Amino acid sequence: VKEIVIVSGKGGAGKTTLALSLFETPRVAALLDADVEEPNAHLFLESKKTKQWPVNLPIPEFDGDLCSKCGKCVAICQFNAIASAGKAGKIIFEELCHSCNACVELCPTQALRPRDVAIGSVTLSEIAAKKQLYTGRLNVANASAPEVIRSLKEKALSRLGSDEVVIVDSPPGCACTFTAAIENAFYVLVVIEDSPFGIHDADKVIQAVLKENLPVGVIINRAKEKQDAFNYCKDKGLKVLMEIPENIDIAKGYSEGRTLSKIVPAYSLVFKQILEVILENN
Amino acid sequence: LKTIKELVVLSGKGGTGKTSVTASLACFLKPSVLADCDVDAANLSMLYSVQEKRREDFFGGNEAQINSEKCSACGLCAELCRFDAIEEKGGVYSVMEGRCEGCKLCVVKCPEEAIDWKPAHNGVWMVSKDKGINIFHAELNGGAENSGKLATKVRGEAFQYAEQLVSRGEGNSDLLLIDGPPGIGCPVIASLTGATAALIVTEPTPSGFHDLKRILELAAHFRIPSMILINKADLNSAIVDEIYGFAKGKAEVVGEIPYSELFHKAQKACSPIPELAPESVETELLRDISKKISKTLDAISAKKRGGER
Repeated sequence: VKEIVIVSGKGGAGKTTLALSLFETPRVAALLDADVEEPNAHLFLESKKTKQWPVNLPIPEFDGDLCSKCGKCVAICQFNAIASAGKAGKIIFEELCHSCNACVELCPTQALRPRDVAIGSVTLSEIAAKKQLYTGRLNVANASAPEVIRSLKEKALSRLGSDEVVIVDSPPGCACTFTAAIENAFYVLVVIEDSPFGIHDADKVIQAVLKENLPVGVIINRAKEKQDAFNYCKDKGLKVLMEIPENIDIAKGYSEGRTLSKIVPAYSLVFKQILEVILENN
Repeated sequence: LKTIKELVVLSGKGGTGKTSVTASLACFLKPSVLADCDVDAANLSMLYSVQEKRREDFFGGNEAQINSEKCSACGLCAELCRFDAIEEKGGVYSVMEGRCEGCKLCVVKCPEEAIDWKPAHNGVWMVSKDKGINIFHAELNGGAENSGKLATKVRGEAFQYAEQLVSRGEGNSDLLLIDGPPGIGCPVIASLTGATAALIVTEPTPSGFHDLKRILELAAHFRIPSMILINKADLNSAIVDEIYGFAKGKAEVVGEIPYSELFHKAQKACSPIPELAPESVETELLRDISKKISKTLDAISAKKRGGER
């Protein structure tokens, strides 16, 4: 599967808008919404049928009758997720647990056993014309976003043919969720908002993508007359595939739940060409 | 007893204007200290002409490193690792960059003691100053782990400094204003837990409204009172009405700001909106909003103090 992953660094740069636009082109079979903390693509698409799978992580369960009070579990846990509580035995703080299994492995008496706890879900929505939307969703008050992203990809890729093209809509930022989103990318498309914040944050993700030796291209959004973002790309030798000018009508259309090609119909041909260029040259 | 009030600015959706709003409100709320907890896309200090006063390396934890001279290539570490962080190429095992969660299981289980446990350098944190404003901020390394821990570090250092200022009678006020990250994950939880209140900056778009609901749910989970500011309010009046309806009984809507070019101009000028355009409608709105926020913060603190007595 060829994963075209859309990233931006700064939030609100236009990732979802562009992901939806590329999803509309004929070659693309599926859209994976990997912004699992705040997934939004489904708000713009009408789905016919949906299916859902839970994303579980093993969290240890404590059995006081078996505990020998050796303290190995408390000592090994690097996330302070287990504490000794006198006669009550051990307390496990689920929200701090990283499901590394270290305590379970080191417990000499099997007093700790893993139990599946739901941390989120993956939803498959059938969209018109044999297209599929896969949405990863992190449960509120849970911190394991990268695990939901990896589950989302695994689930989607296991159901898609090997020569299919998919678009991945990523979370903002460049932390561990970003790392999970760009894993196995065929191509990384960076959306740069043409503003000082947008360029600063995009630069961080671009450096990280280049370090991974992944092919990268840029779409500039809300392009201003001064062309700061364009000049930045020129300096860095980055390929600019498209520039979308600052346009209040696009912002209003977006607020009405319309996709970019519905607001500016001429763009649908441009996106078709961009996809062809990406697939041919990489 | 907590002497410092912490107001954290969040949004769920990115790009709603958190950072610009934070710096603008700071002109009126006069916090002693500002903290930028959006450590992997840190922009707050860009709205000032800051001078860096302090810079510290940040080690979020440890990570495993395989010593190939001692390694017998038994493969146990790769088998045990729940994060698939260990790869094997031609019989040589190594830890993939950015993948180790730092659980230490492989380190203690390796029969050859061939795995070193090294501090993981995940970024830097800084203290910068502009005209008497102290800004605590950070830069997470690209793709690094531990963004939540770095947010906790920035917030903790800022809090301590604010306490010191207040105890010396030097601070502008007892307020610590925090610019938070987007989303609802690790660094958001780190920025939010235990705060006096949250200000959610939203926008009237399907995404903005959807994400507002999730961040409000998160704040309610941690029992943090929330306020809502609707930015770009003239984009869609129907969704603005829906937001008011939804907020009823959950959070106070402290005001609206229209879609405005001043947000971009302020970034270009490295200056918060009220300083750049003191006579503008936006500045007037922000002044009113900060008055409401002040009042609500005082009420929340008074109630808390009452509860503690």
